[in-house]
Amino acid sequence: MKPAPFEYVAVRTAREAVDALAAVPGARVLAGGQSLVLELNYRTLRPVRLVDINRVAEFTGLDVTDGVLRVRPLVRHRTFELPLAAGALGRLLARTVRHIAHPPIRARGTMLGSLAYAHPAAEWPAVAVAFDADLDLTGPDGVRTVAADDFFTGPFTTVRRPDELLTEARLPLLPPATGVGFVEHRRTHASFAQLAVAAALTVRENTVHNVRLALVNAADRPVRARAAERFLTGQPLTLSALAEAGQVAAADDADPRPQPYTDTPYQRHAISVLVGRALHQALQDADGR
Amino acid sequence: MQTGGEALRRAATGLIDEARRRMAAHCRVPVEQVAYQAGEVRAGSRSLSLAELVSATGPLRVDEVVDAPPAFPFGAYVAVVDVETELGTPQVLRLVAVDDYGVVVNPLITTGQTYGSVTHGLGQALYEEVRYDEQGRPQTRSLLDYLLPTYAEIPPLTFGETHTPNPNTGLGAKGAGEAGCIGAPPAIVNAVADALGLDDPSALQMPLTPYTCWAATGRAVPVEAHR
Repeated sequence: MKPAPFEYVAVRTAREAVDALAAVPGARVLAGGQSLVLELNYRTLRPVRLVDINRVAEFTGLDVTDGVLRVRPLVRHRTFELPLAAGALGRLLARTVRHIAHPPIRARGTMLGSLAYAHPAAEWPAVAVAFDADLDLTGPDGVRTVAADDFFTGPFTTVRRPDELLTEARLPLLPPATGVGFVEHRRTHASFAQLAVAAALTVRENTVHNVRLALVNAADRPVRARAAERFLTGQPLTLSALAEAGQVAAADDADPRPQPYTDTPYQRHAISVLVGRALHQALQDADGR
Repeated sequence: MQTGGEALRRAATGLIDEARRRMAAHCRVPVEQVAYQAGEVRAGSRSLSLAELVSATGPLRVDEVVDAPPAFPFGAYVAVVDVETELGTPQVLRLVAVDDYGVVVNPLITTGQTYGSVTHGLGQALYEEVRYDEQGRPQTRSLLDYLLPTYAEIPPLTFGETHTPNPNTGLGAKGAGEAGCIGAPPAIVNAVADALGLDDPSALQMPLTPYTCWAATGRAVPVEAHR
């Protein structure tokens, strides 16, 4: 339960962070440390160097400019529990964050850390994929921007190169009259999500104008339920249409992998139920405004 | 308390007898004329504390061997559960435990033991399992895999007690450590079987995961995979 020896480097600027990361192969970034430190202590990870970015002032905070929410590396999960001037997107993030672990972890862990870690049962990666996040990766050659959809390649795997640092996530705000919902299926309060669904629904004149659906732990990577979104878009809004969208997501979008205490038919069934519930919650959220 | 308490009781009783014998010899009176009360031995008008007796006459020592005396604890457990049938998620709404621990020497201890054992019983019924794959490799390797109930999973608990003294021990005490592990699981499984309308509760194998409860009903129509 003690980490293997490593070199600890506390950097003060983004430039120093990138240099410190690139200088030693296998170096790792320490932000909140809520997954990393656990892995260090289990020795499932044995990096030779940790680059602590917690003192980098330019990595703090978030802002909304030009209809985009920009999140920097030191924004803790907890930040999203507080009111955010980001409309429906802010409400969605607030509903989502309550399902992430528990308060001590939310006080320390970061959104960008969760994206970089890419745990298959993590909430933020699916939200990033379904809500069109752009992710900035900063390396020795500068910054490149990757769409969240292209970022995740499997469990705990992303296109981030070892000498790159995730320096910003940009989430576009949602249109007016959008309702949001988030539902999660897990076995105890302290458990990881068995499955979870985030939904946003924009209704105009009783017709589904726009819909976004994120599936957590429904495949080997976060899933945007595009088939279900296509199915619903343009449809007259009915409860049966919402339920049917769940069936489409479960059949066409999800690709559940073997997991303990379940089988694939149950996972698909649960996805269908949860999509229906998340959409229903989104509808109520929209109606309440 | 059933075994250790009985050993202590017998050792203490033996020590008092030994102290009375010592006092009788010390005062040259028959042992029947020596009384013991609250740490003092008294023979007529003379009385000594045990410490004074020991410093005047040397250490007191007794040995006792006690076999675990049989006991017959019993109790009754009632669980009220809600099973959300769409996903099969079971939730214990209320658990009532009535136990007979015989004569309770320290209620703080037995009540604490009941909280602990009921929690473990809840864990066994709904969460805990060590799993192996087909090659016998353990799949449950840490407390991230081995699911334990936490405070949030504990339903409202009501405890009651009856007190039937154990005739096989001087204290009348019985074991109290594992009552909840024994009583809670069948109460919860029977309640879930009842909620799901199952005639045979043995169709449910613990832990009662949402999947187990969902599969046991066989009512939900699975979604066909298209990919």
